[in-house]
Amino acid sequence: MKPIQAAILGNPNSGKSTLFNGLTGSHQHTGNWPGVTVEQACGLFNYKADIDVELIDLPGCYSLVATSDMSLDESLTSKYLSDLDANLDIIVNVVDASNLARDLYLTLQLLEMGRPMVVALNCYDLAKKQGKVIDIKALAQELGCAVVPVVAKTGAGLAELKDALVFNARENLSKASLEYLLPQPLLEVIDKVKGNLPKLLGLRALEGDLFLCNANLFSDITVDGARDQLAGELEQDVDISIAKVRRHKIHEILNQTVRQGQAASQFDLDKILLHPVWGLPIFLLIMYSMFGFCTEIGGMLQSGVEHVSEHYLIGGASKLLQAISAPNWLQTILVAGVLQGLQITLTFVPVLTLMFICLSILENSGYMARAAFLVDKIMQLFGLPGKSFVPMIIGFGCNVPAVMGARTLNNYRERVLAILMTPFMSCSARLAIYAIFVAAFFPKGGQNVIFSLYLVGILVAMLTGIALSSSALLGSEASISLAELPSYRVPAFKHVLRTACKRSLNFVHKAVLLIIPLCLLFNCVGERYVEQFGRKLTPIFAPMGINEANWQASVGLVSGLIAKEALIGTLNALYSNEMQTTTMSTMTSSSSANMVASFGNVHAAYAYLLFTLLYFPCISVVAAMAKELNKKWALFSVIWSTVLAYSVATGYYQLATQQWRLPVLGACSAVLIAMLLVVRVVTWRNAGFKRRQLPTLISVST
Amino acid sequence: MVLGISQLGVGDKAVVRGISSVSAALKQRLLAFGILPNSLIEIVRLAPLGGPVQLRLQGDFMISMRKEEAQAVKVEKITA
Repeated sequence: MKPIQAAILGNPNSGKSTLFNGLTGSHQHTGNWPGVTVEQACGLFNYKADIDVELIDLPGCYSLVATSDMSLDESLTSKYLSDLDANLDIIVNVVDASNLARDLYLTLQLLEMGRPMVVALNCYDLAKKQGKVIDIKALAQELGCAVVPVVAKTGAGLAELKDALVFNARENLSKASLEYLLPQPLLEVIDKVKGNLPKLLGLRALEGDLFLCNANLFSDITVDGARDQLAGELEQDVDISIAKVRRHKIHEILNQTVRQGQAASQFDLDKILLHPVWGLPIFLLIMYSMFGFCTEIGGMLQSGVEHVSEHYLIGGASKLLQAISAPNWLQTILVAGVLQGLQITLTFVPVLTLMFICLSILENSGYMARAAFLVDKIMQLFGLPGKSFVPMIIGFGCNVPAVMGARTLNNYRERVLAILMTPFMSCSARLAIYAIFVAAFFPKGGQNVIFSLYLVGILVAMLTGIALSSSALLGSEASISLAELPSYRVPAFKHVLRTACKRSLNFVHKAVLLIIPLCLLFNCVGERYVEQFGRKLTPIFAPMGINEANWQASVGLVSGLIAKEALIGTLNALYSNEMQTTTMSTMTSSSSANMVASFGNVHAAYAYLLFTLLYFPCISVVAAMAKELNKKWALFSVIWSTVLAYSVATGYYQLATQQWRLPVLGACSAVLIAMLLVVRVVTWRNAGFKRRQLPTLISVST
Repeated sequence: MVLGISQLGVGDKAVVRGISSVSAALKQRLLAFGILPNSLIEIVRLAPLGGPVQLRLQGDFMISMRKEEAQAVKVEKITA
């Protein structure tokens, strides 16, 4: 039998994704929606052994009306549902029973479309606690579609939901019996909706929905004509009248179906967590402990993974290859390229997973919305919403999950901005480099040196934010701060774990393909010509204080491209008198002494650190950027950060050593100004980085 | 007297009278949340540092919005 096509959707925070996970279990695959980086999850479940149901998880939304100033990500759901010819048998609308007044607005819009639909009344237990008694039968009658109470978190009611879903899809039942009390002028216009279409579908077109207003819904009148006519006859905006009609209906439904009993008294957590004085410190404390937890536990697991893969994966493979006397080139490709690339990616997994677990808990508990509320004003300065603060903080641990965490921002423009600012947060790998340099060069006041580097990073991130947010490079999507503060919940453990694992595996999958070839390039070509190559490269870094004899430093920078911590191992190997390749993250004292001698002075060392902080984010971060945005933005970030790094490091060295080489300083500032100009010019020409095309118009065949 | 929401203080209750010109996307969100003429709102608290304002809507529904956006919603204060 043909599988049933079903779509699940609801308000954000209605428990939609948890329900989706509950229904489909592990039979799901995730990807991105075409053209955007919004996660698309599809799943499958089998009903009574003979019917397959294919379920698609649509992005949550509050209203189906898509406007032209929305980003494509925000209008996805509307676009998907507006394709009236699409192969969709039934809609599963998840409604939060404890928040009916909010959620029914979307439900009504869905019912207006006249498609078979089932309402999954989620959090039924919570509603009971609030003292709400919902008459399910009456609600089903009022809505004209099946209503099934469920608790997505525990899986209660899922079997009944499946029954209702299959039954309604097969019988093609519940063609809208929804009735509105419409003002006369609206009624007249709605009557002109073409015969075979549900009349109420006309409402959304009149509200100016991007996808329906061009759909040729009406006979002998255009949508614009109808709107003009209505504007004269109604006493207020058309969209406000329509919203009023729906609100009125919701009020009526609630009166008929919900009895408010005695609510169990609940403590208002917001009194503490959003306290005018203590709110911010508590938030910072939560961030701090989350951060500490991830880096401490994650770091331990990371070295475990490193140890195991070093000994068993790489060690075992090279022994095996030697035993079967494989040719040398093959050994190099497999060990130095493929396996090492795999190892680098795998070492990220523990920290990534832990960070994603924390992010997921923050989001699902409802605290993320509060955090956004508390720091919104600070982030607004950089054109970012308060929500973006959390991924930024994560960046101090590791930039990769920070880039991926920007997914929680619901606007493309904000995601680009947050992701481009992230690489300037000094990650823990960079801290390791600072520590070694400080020990060698700045025996006194080392902590100030490290602190200043963190500050420089934050400052550069801010500058990036301000420069980019004031440019139109990012497009002009309206960014809305109006957001819900959902009630606090205990997150569903299984759901949190599943989401976190899914996200980090997603990264591994994508990143490996980029990291392995680069590892091959650096490791295989490198070894032999290291010194020659380093000597050729060094003059480029001369203006920032790396003298010609100090070729080791420039080789270190190259290996830092793979992973910043690789820089230490390389320097250690190169500065030590005997050549040895290790991945050690410490430095022997003889190497350290050689390094101090090679750099010559502390200013050169500090300039080197500045460069290390700001230049090319490691390849794993670039891979994450390419995945979250696109290759062009990843390339932009690479160029942006490297040019900035070069200018800042050179500028510092020239000023500090008081050589006042004016041409060099001039060149540096010229480069900086040029970069800001480029950002501006591209906006004027409005070329490049064109992300989205206009949505295809959807026509209705009659 | 018709005011913008950001002119109200914590604890004030008001009736929405209208929405002045805002972006289409914001207007749809306001309507979906039930912020339309004659609906009731209450200012619950203000974020630190002059940040967003927290509102309680009908149905005990909590939202937050930046002051610039809140200013576009015109309300009339209810005097108890």
